[in-house]
Amino acid sequence: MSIEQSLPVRKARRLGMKDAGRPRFVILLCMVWLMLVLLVAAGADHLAPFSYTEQSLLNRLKPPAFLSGDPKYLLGTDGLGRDVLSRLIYATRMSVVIAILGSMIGATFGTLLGFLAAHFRGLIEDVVMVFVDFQASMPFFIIALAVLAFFGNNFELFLVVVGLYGWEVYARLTRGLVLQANGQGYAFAIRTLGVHPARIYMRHILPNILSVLIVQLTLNFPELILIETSLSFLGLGIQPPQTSLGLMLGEGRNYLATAWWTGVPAGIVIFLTTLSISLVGDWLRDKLDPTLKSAEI
Amino acid sequence: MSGRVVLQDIVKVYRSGGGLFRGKTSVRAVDHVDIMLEPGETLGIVGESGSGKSTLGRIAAGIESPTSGHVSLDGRSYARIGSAAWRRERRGVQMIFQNPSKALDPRMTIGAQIGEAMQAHGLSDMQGRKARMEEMLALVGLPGMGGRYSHQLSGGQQQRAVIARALVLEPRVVVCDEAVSALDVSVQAQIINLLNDLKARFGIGYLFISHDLGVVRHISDRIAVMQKGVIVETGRAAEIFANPKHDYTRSLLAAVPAATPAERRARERRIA
Ligand SMILES: Nc1ncnc2c1ncn2[C@@H]1O[C@H](COP(=O)(O)OP(=O)(O)OP(=O)(O)O)[C@@H](O)[C@H]1O
Ligand SMILES: [Mg+2]
Repeated sequence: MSIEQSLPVRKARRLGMKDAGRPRFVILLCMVWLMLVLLVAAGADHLAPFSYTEQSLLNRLKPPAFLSGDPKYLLGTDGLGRDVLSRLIYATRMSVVIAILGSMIGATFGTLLGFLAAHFRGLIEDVVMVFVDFQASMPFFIIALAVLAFFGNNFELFLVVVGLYGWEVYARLTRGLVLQANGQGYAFAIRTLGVHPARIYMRHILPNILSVLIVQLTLNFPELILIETSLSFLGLGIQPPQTSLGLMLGEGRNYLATAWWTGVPAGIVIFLTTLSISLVGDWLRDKLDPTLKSAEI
Repeated sequence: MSGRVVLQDIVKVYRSGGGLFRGKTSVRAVDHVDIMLEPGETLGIVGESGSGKSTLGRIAAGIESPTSGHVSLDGRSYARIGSAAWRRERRGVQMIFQNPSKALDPRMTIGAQIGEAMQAHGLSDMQGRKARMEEMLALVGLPGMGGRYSHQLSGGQQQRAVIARALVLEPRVVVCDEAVSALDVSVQAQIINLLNDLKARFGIGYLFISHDLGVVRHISDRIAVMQKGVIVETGRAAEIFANPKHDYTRSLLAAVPAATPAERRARERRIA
């Protein structure tokens, strides 16, 4: 593909994407939502009107204030008379912390192994790829269940297990991209200038593959929330009286017909958060790519 | 001005395969080649596709090691590829590849890439590098374009940027592997002229690889003709064109239009 050809094509693509309905304000809304989620997570202790463990058995399953419930309980109460809003705030903090730390663990670990495999080749590459294939061919859930059931559940272990979800995708992706860059492209050319390999990895290859990794991160993030949800639901994740969005959703499931407000708010937060991350991730990828930027003219 | 590359008895064998159902096969890409590039000389290497020109070029540049044989630049053999000494040696010998858009980092301005090459060899301080970068860009015909990314340049301009990045290190030898083959014909001529200007200015020696004899004729002092990993004929460029000795050279020449009426008459005599 020649330069003369590619510019109009890219331009058309970019305009097309804009027409397809991702105008700026949607991105802005997503960002506002994500900021809100982060603020809530950070300020949970100050924002929550009640303690998330405080039970009031006289006030069980009260509907939300806006459905003629008790104005004290903005989003109503759950089956044990706990304030849903307060629990939602703490659950959001828990899930956000797990998803962020988990993503970092998986992305860092996988990317690092991918770099090592591509740099050293030979035995190291073989070993890494065997683990990648192993991880890819074992259902993640079975491993997670086995590890959590065997070693017992504590927060750190749970974090590591959730974090390792998807590391093999980063490893495979990174290895492929680094090999490609090393093989015939700019990285090889720059190496023949006498530039140190460490600098080539940090200053040239990493920035070039970062957008792909960020897209992968945004794909991975919602899945992490789902993994956390499912494990917590099965009783192998976050343990009561702690709470997370997944646990709330699981607990609320029993009341879906009678007291939907116990679970649905958690579902909405999960939905909006994962959607926002995907959209912002996409937008970020365009921003990070100067070859797309210039086509804007 | 030094910059003598000597290749002695170079053999390069590629082993491939060893697949599930196939035995190992090996290709002799270069087969007992002896050539020498004199300081400041342009040596053209021609031959059909797959004759081993690129392999020979990479070996001459020291970015690939031969299976056997000896390569030296100004009497010193190349260090082990990837070692610190090898990285230092890169200052003396540079390569220019066929596809300039692949040789440039799409996410770094060309100015920064030229600066990085200097920095890798500890050439001057930040201010000095910036001045030198501007100077080099002006020299290759891209004045003030240091802030551009490669996709903001045409193919010819990209190749100029690659040339600037290589020549800022003041190499004594530059291996050009099909350096103009991917460019438009009119741009090819400009780049060839640029390479000739820079050679006159810096006294660089070129190993100029191309399958296009028309291009090679314009730039080369001497020409080596390669076939199946072997050099079948070498000589002064004019000599090769006027009076090819080897059948293979003649068949290559038959595919290019004659440059002068005298040459055409000479050819017709040969055919008759
Ligand atoms: N890395 C490699 N691994 C295996 N075989 C190779 C490799 N590089 C080159 N070869 C083989 O060596 C031979 C010479 O290849 P080379 O690229 O040097 O030819 P060339 O003269 O440059 O051809 P072209 O004009 O098409 O660029 C070919 O048969 C090729 O298949
Ligand atoms: Mg070649």
